[in-house]
Amino acid sequence: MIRRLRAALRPRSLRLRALIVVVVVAALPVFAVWATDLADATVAQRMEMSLSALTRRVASSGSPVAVLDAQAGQGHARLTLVGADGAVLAESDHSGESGWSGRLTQWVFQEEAPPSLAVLDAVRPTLADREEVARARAEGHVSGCIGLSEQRLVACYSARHTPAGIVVAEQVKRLPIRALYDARFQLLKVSIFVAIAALLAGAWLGNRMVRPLEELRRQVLDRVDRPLSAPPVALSRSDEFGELAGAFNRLLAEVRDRSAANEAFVADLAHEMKNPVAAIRAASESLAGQAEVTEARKARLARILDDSSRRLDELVTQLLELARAEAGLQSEERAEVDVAALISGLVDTLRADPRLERLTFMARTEPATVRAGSSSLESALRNVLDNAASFASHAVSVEVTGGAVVRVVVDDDGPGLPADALDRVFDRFYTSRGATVGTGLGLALTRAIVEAHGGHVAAENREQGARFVLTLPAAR
Amino acid sequence: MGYYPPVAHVLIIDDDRSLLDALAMAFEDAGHDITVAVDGREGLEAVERHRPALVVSDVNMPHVDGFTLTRRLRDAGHGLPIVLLTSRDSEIDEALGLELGADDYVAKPFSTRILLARVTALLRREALASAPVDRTQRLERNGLALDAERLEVRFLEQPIRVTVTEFRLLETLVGRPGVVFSRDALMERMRGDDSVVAERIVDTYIRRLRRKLESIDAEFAHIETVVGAGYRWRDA
Repeated sequence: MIRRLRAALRPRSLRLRALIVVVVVAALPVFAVWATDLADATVAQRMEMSLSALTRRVASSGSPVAVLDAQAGQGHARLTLVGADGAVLAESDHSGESGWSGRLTQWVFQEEAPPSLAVLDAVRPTLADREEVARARAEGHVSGCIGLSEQRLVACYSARHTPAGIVVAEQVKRLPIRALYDARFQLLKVSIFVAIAALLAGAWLGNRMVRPLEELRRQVLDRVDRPLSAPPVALSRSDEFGELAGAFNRLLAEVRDRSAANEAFVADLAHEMKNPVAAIRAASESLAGQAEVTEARKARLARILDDSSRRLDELVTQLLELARAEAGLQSEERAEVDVAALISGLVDTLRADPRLERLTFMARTEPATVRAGSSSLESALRNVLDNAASFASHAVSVEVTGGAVVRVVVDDDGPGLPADALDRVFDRFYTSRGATVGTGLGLALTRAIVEAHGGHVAAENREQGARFVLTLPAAR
Repeated sequence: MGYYPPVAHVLIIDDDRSLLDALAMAFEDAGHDITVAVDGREGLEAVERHRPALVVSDVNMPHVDGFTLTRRLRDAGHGLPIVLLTSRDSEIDEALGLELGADDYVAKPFSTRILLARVTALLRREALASAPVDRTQRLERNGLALDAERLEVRFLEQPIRVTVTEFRLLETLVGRPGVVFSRDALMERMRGDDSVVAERIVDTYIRRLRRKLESIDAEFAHIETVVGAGYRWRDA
């Protein structure tokens, strides 16, 4: 329990984050009310200032009565001119016509009419008796605001002394947030319930999100120490978590496939090595068992030992080359290599080989250069040529074409490839050969080298014999 | 009685020419007449042409592999002993498959001494097949009769075809009923050689022996598995 709690509360836990988000959202109205209480004060202050400006304009016009109506309309206020005796000389009331913000408030609060100064008049003395008028008379100008909390209204005034009398500007506005502010304690109470519900919902949601993840993690970790044949991760869900589990299973299957391929490769390798080792062992036993060894016998044993150790050496060397090539020939230095010259040289060597006397070699080359490691490219090409030579009945022909892509096409007139071999002929230890010649790694090495140079290899059957095509990007 | 190892005409088939030559030398040294072939196809021809007394063949060969060779020879009615040379663990099971009909296998890289000993044992079995039975050489228990000289097994009077290895395994268990033999100990006794074979091969042998015996008596339960220890012959 405690461990689960600790896990849930660790920083960046999805559970904790989900909870925080939910709680913040739930408490948002309360915070908003506290914060916007300040806004109401600003509303009153701005109203007071604009009314002061209004009375100043009226006073400076010279003839207050003439501009009274126009100014009242402009300021959405009520302007009254009070004579020295307290009598109302002129009045213009535009206070009900408060612009777009008034209309918005009205819509929000579903009011039939905008707030009216009548409410204020009802609770205050007549204008002539008001304190601000008396003070304006004495001090020149006064302004201020009165809050009417029951109605959630704020009324502001500005009274200014002019030669024509006291100009009083008044305006009333609703304090929309004031309403909420007043209800803040009720709101808080509601919020507490909402917050509890939100907390539960958040915990539930967080759990719902995190549980399958934890389950997935547990199952994945469970497979770390188990053999690859362990069953796939089981998360029977059709949502994103199910898809994640599916993705993991695909990875697992892929790893399993590669591991199986590797295992098969190692088994093949061991198999290939056991023949020469068996021959060496038999020869050594033969040497140990015979007191006298004749010259002929010595020669025979020497040949067996020599052939077998050579086979082993070849196998190990090619295996290393293959491993390097499959790792992408990282450390090999690359230079521009003339493929045409390389092919000509290799073909000349084959022509000079007495074991291949029966074969005719033809080479047709165009100038073609690639950027390559020259020795690895040479062994890639040699392996394909050797392969063709070992299958050909009479002739091997090689064609090199240049251009943006360098193509090397090697044709033989042998038996061709079995249909199922076209894809597999480049696999390690694949062979369709009559007798065991070579290591079974040659063409695999060719493919690895060519692919490490950004090219690719393909095998196909011709009418008579097989064709191997190597393509490599040309050097620029 | 003086003992001379039987010599015979042996056909050796392997696609690895060095190994083939080394084997040829070893068999020649042991006094056998030999014929060699480099793949199964040649081997089949050689059997028809030379009628050897025994065949030693590699499993993994082009064209006709060792398994196919064995099957074809048996299908053609040839009863001569066949020893297969295997180089993969996976081949061993199949090499000794009931339906295949090979008489024994030797795992590469083998000792030629062991290979020759196996061949000799098989040749002696063949040679004794027609001779009168010497009762003193027989080990009998729970309806099972073992003839050590002929490498012959009879269960409830019915003959069972077993390999040399299987015979040694049965002999060890039946010879000391109730005694638990570990896999290691069984390996030691039944193979008598130093070839490197996985211990689980013992399980394969036991399974195969049980199958052979159960084919005669479905209730057969004398070979008992002792969990964590090995196997024993249950006398009850």
